[in-house]
Amino acid sequence: MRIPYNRGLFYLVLSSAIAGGLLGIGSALVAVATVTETETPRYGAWKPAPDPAQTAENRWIRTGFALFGAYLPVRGDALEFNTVHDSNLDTLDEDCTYFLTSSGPPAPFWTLSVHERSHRVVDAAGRPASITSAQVGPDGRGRIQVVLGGEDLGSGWLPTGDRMPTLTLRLYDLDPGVRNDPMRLPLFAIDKGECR
Amino acid sequence: MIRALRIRTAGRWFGLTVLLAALVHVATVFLLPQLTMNRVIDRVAEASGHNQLLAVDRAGSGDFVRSDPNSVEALCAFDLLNGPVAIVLPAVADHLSVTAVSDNTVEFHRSGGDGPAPARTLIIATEEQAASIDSPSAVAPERKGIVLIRRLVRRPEDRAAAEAERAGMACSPL
Repeated sequence: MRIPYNRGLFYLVLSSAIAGGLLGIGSALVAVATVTETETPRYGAWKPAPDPAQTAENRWIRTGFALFGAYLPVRGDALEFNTVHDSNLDTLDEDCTYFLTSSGPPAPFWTLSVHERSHRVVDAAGRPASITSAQVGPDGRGRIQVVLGGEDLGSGWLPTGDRMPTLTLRLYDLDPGVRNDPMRLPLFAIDKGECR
Repeated sequence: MIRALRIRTAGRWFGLTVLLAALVHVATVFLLPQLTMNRVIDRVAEASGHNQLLAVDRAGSGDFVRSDPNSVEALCAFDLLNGPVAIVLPAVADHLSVTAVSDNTVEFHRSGGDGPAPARTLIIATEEQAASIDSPSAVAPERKGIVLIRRLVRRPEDRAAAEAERAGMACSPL
């Protein structure tokens, strides 16, 4: 059977397909971002890297992990936290200086690294933008302080890179009791300083 | 009459658009994890081939995963079409973690520990293959997937030793 060409119907279906496609993809991305944001806890500025074993049943969160590069997080025995925000939940700005302060070492061994949105580690003059507990010790009051952005201060300093940075904090050698209760960990507060 | 026709046409357009949007929404959410994982697996396989270990440097690993610059990493894109795959891990002097994820984004194996660990071999197999081999194996829910091995480097002076340990790692058909 030959269906007669109907120009009006053709444009009706075509415009509907385009609008439906855009609406469907857009609503899926918004739903994925919203569910991922609301269903994972926040500790100050930090969000723990998702545990695939615990969240495998939520399709929207799984999509979010895949989309935002969180798959293959390889938690192993490390606990991983990420943030793109300071402690006021303002997005980290590559043109600003931030002071990261912890009341004590968050773990026997910890690493802090700065990543681009593409997940690549920010390059700091030929070295990866990363710092570990082996490089930064507590001050006289037992606090740990790291400076992010601004002028190169040498030890205890990390660059932000050229784009909006993501901070990743990995904690190793944690006591199992503490691992399961991140609220007890002295994670870094992130306070904004001056901006260019 | 013409106005009634226009209202009916607009209603049909709206109904069709909402229906298509709902279908695309569901399809996007259900297909994206696997599409994303397959993209990562394909990129690793392009770089090294299937069932081969790919040592990734600090600059390059960000192409596949969010890397830890304080670690030495290796990836293996496995394909169990022709049989199980063996992941050979040498004795290590410090924290080593191994994670295996199938292409449907299911993490089916995770092991690791702080401190030194003896040499071992991890066998990855489908359920059917696992039933026909003697060694205990990690059962992959899908034929394809990826394994990420990460050896922590606590001090810069430990990096050479960690890279030497990585040289002793392997991914190959059993």
